[in-house]
Amino acid sequence: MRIAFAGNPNSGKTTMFNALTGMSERVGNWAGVTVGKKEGPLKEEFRGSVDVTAVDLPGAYSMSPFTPEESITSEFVREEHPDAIVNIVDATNLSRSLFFTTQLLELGVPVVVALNKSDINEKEGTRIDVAKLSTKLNCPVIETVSTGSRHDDLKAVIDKAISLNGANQKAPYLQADIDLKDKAAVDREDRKRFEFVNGIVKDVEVREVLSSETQQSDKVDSVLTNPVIGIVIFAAVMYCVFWISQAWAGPGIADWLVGWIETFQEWVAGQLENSPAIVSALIADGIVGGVGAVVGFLPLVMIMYFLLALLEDCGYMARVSAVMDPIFKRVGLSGKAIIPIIIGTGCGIPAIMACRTIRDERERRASAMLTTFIPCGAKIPVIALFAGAFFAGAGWVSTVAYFLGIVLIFLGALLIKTVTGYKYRKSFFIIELPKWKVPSLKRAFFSMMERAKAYIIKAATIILVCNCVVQIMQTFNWHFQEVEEGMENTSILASIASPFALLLIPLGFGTWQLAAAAVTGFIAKENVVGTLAVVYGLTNFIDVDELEMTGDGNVVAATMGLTSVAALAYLFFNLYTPPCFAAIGAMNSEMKSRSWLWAAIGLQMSTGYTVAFLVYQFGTLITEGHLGTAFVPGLIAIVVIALVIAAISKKVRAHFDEQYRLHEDVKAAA
Amino acid sequence: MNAFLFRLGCYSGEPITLVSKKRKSCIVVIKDGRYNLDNLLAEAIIVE
Repeated sequence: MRIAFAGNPNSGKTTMFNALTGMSERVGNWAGVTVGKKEGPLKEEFRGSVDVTAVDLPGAYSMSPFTPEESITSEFVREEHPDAIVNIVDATNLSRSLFFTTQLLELGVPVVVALNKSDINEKEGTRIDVAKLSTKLNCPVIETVSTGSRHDDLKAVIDKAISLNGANQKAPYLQADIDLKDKAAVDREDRKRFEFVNGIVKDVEVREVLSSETQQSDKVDSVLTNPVIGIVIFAAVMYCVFWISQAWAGPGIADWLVGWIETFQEWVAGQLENSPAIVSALIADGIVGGVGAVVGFLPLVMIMYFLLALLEDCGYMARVSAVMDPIFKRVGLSGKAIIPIIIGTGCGIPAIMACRTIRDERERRASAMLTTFIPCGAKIPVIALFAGAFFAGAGWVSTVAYFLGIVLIFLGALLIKTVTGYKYRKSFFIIELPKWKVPSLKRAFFSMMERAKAYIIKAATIILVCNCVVQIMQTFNWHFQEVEEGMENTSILASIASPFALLLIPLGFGTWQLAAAAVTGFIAKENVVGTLAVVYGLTNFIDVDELEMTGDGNVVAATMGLTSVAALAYLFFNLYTPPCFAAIGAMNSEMKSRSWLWAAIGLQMSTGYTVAFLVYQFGTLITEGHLGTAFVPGLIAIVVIALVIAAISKKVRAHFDEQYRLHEDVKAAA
Repeated sequence: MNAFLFRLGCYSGEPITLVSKKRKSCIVVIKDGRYNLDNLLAEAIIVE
């Protein structure tokens, strides 16, 4: 049987779904986390002998859909006929939640109400007469706490749902038969429904503290949404997150881990002492070395994820959204776009999907293509590598990388706004501020472990394969003979990557090794590190003893043959070009339009190229007093890009004018 | 806009509480829920 989980946004549906199915879909303490329906079988302990599938739906306030997510819920419930519905109701907001509940009860599908977040009610002294509510709604009502550790309450809900399968429930309130297209009539009916709900709530709920009274948390919110202080606090919070994960705890743990990887690598090399050089090179250097280089950065990424999970759980995201909105509005984005950007510091794919909650289509598409400018977890190894090798591990590299990402997001948004000529639309902003919650360390820990698992799996599969391929391609030439020392540029890899390398000369890193690494970066950004490790035969990027860092760092720097300026340019190039293919795929599903997708890729490619060009050329000018190589060809390329953008802009605006002109003609004719 | 506010419980005749007012936005309480609105939307809600 299929049980649908429906209810208001941020009521605890996905948390309950995860608890019941053992899956780990994304949760966050703000409205709009679940954007599509998710299905999964219930764990055996909950379903007994019956075959039960749970369907987690995005939050909805009403069966009359206003947002795309609500349409999903509305359509599913209406057309796919679930056998039962578990309506998860936020017990702290009964007066709003029951509106949807009464609508669900009219559908003729058995409903069980899970009165969720009952623990919060207990803390605040709000009491709900569950028995009375059950009588008034004509359906079972069970108090639940989906974040609890024992799940007897959830089992009770499921048992009830299973027992009601096929049963007939009488709806407590039926909407009068009206013409649903008559807005006034619908309005009247909705008011009547609210009156009915108000009546129930008055009878059933007793509050110690009225919601309309100002509480301690309101004072906090007032500060956090203050346009100046709020943003400073946000900057400070994000800076802490980055500093802890990338400058303090992260590298500390990474050092220890890398020590182990090195030992393992030596052991492997020892075992392979008597095998042909090929095999030894492939396994010790290509696989263990390349993958090891990437895995060495895992602690940084894990800590980042842990801190992000805490941020997402406590309820801060909505406040940040509110305070960033005025700034974002100036560049044509919604304040809600900050959430994908924050998620994007972890991984770009859920970040792009989070853009779905932005109502305005143009804003949504703009956010989806800009959100990958903020460095994701996979890019952390790349940043750490270059910071370590060329800048003695200085903290400013990382800070600049993220800061520049934000700047590029704003500039990109301005560009999109200008190109699409969207100055005339007004969009409003409203976001619910959920109750503050002490973030669950346990859940953050699990979320971090999930992510670590995913990272290792990725390393063991995609990155491993890529490193092997790269290792083989660089060891052999086209005649499948091994390449001699010093003759590396006759290898397969070199011949394929060299044409690309030509394009990169104006950027200061036109060597085939670096070009190859950048290209493999599209498969997974971590590959940049892995490929460089394989191609340059370097394997220890983070050293156990910080004093050794500078020494080895110089080795790395010398091997790559880059000046610091060129290295910085290369780093930025890899950070701000289009993301990995998986993220591009996610972009594709969000854009829903070929032209927007290519525009996105074009924008990202141009940005990476232009930033690298500017950094290299002007950086060389500043540090060495002359422009870098191939300044003019690079400049021409940039100018061409600018012209293309201008041409597109003109075309889009002409089309815009056309639409308006047509209407005026009609008016003139009439 | 009206339709969306309505489902949250914000319709004529229903009391809402202003908790915080800023230059460009404000925080209101509608039916036990707290929301941050930008002034554009806030202006659409005429308070009696």
